[in-house]
Amino acid sequence: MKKEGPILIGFLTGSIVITSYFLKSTGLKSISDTVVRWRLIIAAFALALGALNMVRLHGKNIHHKGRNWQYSVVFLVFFLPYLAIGLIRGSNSAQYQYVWKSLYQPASATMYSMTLFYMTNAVWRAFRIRNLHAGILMFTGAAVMLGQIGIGTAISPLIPRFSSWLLDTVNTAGIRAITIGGSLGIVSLGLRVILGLERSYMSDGGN
Amino acid sequence: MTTDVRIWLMALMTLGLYSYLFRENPFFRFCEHAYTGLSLAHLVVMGWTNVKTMALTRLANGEWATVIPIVLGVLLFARWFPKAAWLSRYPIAYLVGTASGVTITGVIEAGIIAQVRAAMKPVTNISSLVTLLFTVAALSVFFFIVGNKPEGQVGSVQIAAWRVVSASSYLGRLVLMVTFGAVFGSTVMARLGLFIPRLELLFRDWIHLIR
Repeated sequence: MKKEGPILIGFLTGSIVITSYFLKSTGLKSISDTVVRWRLIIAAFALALGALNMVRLHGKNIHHKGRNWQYSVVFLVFFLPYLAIGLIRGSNSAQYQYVWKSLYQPASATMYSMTLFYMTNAVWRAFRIRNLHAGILMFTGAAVMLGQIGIGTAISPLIPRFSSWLLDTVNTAGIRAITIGGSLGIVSLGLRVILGLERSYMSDGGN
Repeated sequence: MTTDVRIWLMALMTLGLYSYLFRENPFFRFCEHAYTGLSLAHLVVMGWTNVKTMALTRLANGEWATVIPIVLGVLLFARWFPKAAWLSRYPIAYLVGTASGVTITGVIEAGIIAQVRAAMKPVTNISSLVTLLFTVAALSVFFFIVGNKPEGQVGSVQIAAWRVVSASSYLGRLVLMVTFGAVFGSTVMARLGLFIPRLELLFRDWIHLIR
């Protein structure tokens, strides 16, 4: 029951979804849709579990005046009222949207844009031409970037055309090969999970 | 400088997070924890919306089978009790099994069939021929591990096959380098597209330095 039960559940749910994809049966499709919909309900409970764990963790930190406990207060001060607004008034309410647009959206965009600086740092390291491969990497990266900004056209009108040729032809071939290779890997890993050969997801649920 | 409270909040959040580029500091950590709190609250609200529309409403309409995912969801909390922790494996197995099924079907459709179909279109010009050849070359990097040249009593066909695959694999590595460079360039430009609006917020909307 502790091991075989969960493996059976994983096998059944995965098999239903895959079988309904290959067999065009309306009844099976309906069962599969229900199985997939139930997943979203369970996932919501998983989110609630994660949120409660975070509240417990930060609550303990504040209670014991642990390391950087002030930031735990900040977390709870932003988490609890926003959660309350969302649960009571709904995510379309004016108050919820105000916080969403004033704090969450700018923070999210800022976090993503910050990677630009780390990427610039990576350019410094990766674009040193040590061999042919590194040279091609640098040349292509520079051509694509120049092709998308005005200065590229100012240098030569050929640069944007070459850039789009690279993206449409060579890049398409490379991305296609990576996608096919990665997809085969994902399929094999998924099958291993469904068949119960991959059980690492059960490693932290008691003995 | 603007008097709009919302612009001030946006600007302070942006500045606080960017301050990490200098070094880790209390202003950054404040904004980081605020952002984490807001993100988590938003996720829970979205989860609750799912539970409401997909479970509670259906239960109210007499779909008693919806009790099953609710019970499975509650079993996740068994992780807090060491003796009953193994019960949480059931909902996790459900999530992992379904996710595997959904991913496999999605990947077969979009990642394999659609890509192979697109690669096998009729060759109408030089670019489409180049794309086809380069796709085969790049695939040979993944699917043919080219070892050392065959030695001993091997036929000339084997040697020729080794040479073809070896050359294709080498060309494939060059194609992949071009791809990585192109992906890198595109990603940098996309991130720049996110950075410029941040600068506009700070210098145009907040302190009115630029128009």
